[in-house]
Amino acid sequence: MRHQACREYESLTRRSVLKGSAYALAAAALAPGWLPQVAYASGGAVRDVVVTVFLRGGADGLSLVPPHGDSNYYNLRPTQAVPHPSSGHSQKAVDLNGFFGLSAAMSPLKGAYDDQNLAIIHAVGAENWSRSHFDAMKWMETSSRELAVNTGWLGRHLSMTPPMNSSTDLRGVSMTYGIARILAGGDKTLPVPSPDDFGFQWVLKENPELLESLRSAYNAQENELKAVFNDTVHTISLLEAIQFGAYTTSGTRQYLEDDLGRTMKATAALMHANVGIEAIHIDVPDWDTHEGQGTVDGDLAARMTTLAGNLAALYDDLLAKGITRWTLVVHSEFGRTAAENNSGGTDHGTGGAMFVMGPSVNGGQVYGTWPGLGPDQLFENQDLVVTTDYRSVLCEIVTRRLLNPNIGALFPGFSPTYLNILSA
Amino acid sequence: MGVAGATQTLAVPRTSSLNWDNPSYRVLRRMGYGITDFEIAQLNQGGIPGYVGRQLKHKSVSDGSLETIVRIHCPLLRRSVTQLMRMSNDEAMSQQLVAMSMMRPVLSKRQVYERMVEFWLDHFNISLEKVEVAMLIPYVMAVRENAMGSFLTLLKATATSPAMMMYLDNYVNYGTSPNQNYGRELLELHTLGVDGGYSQEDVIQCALCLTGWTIEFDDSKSNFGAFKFDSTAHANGNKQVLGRTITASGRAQGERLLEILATHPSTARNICRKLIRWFVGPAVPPDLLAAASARFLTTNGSITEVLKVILLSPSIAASPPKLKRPFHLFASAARGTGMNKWNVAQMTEGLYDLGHFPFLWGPPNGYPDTTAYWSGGLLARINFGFDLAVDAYQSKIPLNNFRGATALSVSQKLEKRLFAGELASSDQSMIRSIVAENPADDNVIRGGIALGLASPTFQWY
Repeated sequence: MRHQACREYESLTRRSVLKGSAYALAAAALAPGWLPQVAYASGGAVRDVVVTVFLRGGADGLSLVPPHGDSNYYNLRPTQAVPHPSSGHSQKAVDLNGFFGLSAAMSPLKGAYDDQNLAIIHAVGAENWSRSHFDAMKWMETSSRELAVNTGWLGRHLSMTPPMNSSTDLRGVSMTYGIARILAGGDKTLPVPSPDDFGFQWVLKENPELLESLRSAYNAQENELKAVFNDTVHTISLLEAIQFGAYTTSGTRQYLEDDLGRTMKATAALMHANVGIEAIHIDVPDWDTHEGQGTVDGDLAARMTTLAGNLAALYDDLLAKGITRWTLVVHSEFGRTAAENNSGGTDHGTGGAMFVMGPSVNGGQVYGTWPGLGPDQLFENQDLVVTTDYRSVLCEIVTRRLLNPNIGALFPGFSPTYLNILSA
Repeated sequence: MGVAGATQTLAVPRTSSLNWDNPSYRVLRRMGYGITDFEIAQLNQGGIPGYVGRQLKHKSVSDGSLETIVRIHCPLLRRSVTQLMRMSNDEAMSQQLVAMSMMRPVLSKRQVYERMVEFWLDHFNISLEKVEVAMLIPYVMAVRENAMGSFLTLLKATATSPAMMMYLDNYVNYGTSPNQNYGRELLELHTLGVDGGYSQEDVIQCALCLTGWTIEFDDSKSNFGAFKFDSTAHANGNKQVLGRTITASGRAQGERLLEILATHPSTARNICRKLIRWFVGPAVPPDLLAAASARFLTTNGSITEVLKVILLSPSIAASPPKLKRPFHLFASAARGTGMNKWNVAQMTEGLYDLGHFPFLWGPPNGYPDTTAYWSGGLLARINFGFDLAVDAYQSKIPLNNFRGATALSVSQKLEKRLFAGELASSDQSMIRSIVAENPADDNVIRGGIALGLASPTFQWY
């Protein structure tokens, strides 16, 4: 039985991505050196740049951050548990506090945790009523029960606050083809799938009068594309000035040579350029591990390896560059069933794990109340109970690091319980 | 303070600002991938009602030369799943599948049918990231075969496809340990809808009904790679779904479940609402939804009967323009320029950059159909138009379609082919002023085509 999707097809369809990176390499060789900061004069409040990372598909919190101290964990996961830290297994968990650990694949993050710049929140999530990806994602990203609301909480934050830098052309970046819903509705916010390859086609570059004609045409009509066109033109000049190809990593850890690594490196370059970008969103796909999940050395381990390796590289890089005003949050629409299924996978669940990283994080701790994995401790006999609402974590970021007190507009009807994950 | 954006309405152009004066053209735009001479000629035979009537009997609309092209260039698409599974030329399979998927919407006279195929392939989405092409090909052919028939038949075709079993993990849905993935998406996405009134227990029971629906993995068997029902993996006993008891046993149990779901009022509403969004727009008129849902139920889910209600309603002509999704942009550009052959491998790169590559949307909800999702990708759309106009995809535009003796005649050809003669006056001035520079110069004509494809008006339909 062949079980891999066609590799030739993959390579065919990925070619344009590779082409983009070849272009970036060429630019690196030619560029006169890294331009330190293309900064504008700054004004307004000094808020953190927030980076949101969404693990699409429902990431298994019990594999990311295994509760090795809960004996039920190993009963529920005969083949899909991260081996105990005291086991002799080569892929054993790295202990964090005697009860929780990081899976071996996630262990690159141990450094940030030990630096007290990484906090973990466990048994966190949303009140769940359907275990549906799309419902849960819409809820988490819009944080509104109203069907008509399609703006994201982060988009609303950008639209209701004055820009940190009044002359900026770009405040929100969604590193996706279409805009991620979390940023929908944001002021000066665009999807930029690859920031290092964002510009007009050569005919338009060589014939500025054609571009001028288009500018007039797009500005002649009052509809949504007018603003998108103008934002796009401004974003191109802004990103060109950043010279991604010439960006060099300062940390000891290198970004991995994969899609997420390129995205994370571009994120660092955007932050370092200090051009007024306030929010960056990154999607990480493929966490829906119903079958053959490979917690220890399979598919899930590979996904955790790329996630943790690239997050750790970003952390090292920003730290080495002395960039201090940033907060990054990693979340997912839900966790997975506490018990593995007979397919060596896990189904849609409820509680999961979240990560908050940054210089202002009160890290080195696992936050939250552990509800237990015993037979009568599970939600509907199958999932980790949610003891911390994800909005409590986000509210702390919004009020303490994004300096927006109006959480009622971002998370309507919600009263947060602060865990003091972040310093004000 | 209220929620910002709660009452936000998207600013889309008014049909008047695009000079879309002809109401029949507004309907034609919505029913296909761009108006050509063929569609305009069709209006002379009974207007929109006549056109819709003929389009809904799609097999009677001749696509002779296109059928020949597909038969010659895409022979693997006629193979069975077992034959394909025994081959190792996945690259040829993928290229033929994608070539067919790109050619038919552009070249077919069965435009409503092709729009429905696109609709169903999103509704019953499957991604090549998880399913191999040998299984996807027969799946796509089955969806095409049933795109205009009965919803139940279509649903059964998807439910008994190895591609869907693989994509949503039902092939490992055992009675001893049910896998809920397919059962859940079957209820949430394929039939009832997320607000369709089912519970977590319904999801579990639904998954139990479908235990044993799997794939023949033994390559020594003559049905290797095909769907099979494995009675040893099936959970025996009655099931309770949506308050009803399913007493049928074995494979019949799952089939009974599909019948219950396909004829459920929530399904009627969910499918009709989505179809109205597809053809009319995001604001679903309640009367139309009620009428379409009623027709769905009284005809046991006849897709063409529901389409009659929607396509003949005055709502389409009265609704604001919709933003073309990138694939639609490609197809309408190819139709408008008269591009009749292209380098598939090159062109697919264009679709990849636009973020709308066939069969590469990962999650099972299908590519979005909203302005909010796609409008930010304007740069890629503009670049695509310019790439197309300079043959960057090695896909030649026959410039003879646009050549003319005077600047006016060249411009008018552009306006007619790309916009059926109706476009915003600012876009018209833009095109006319570049053509006026030298209407005899092919590069100027290409510039006119590029600006036309990249223009604001061309982004909508």
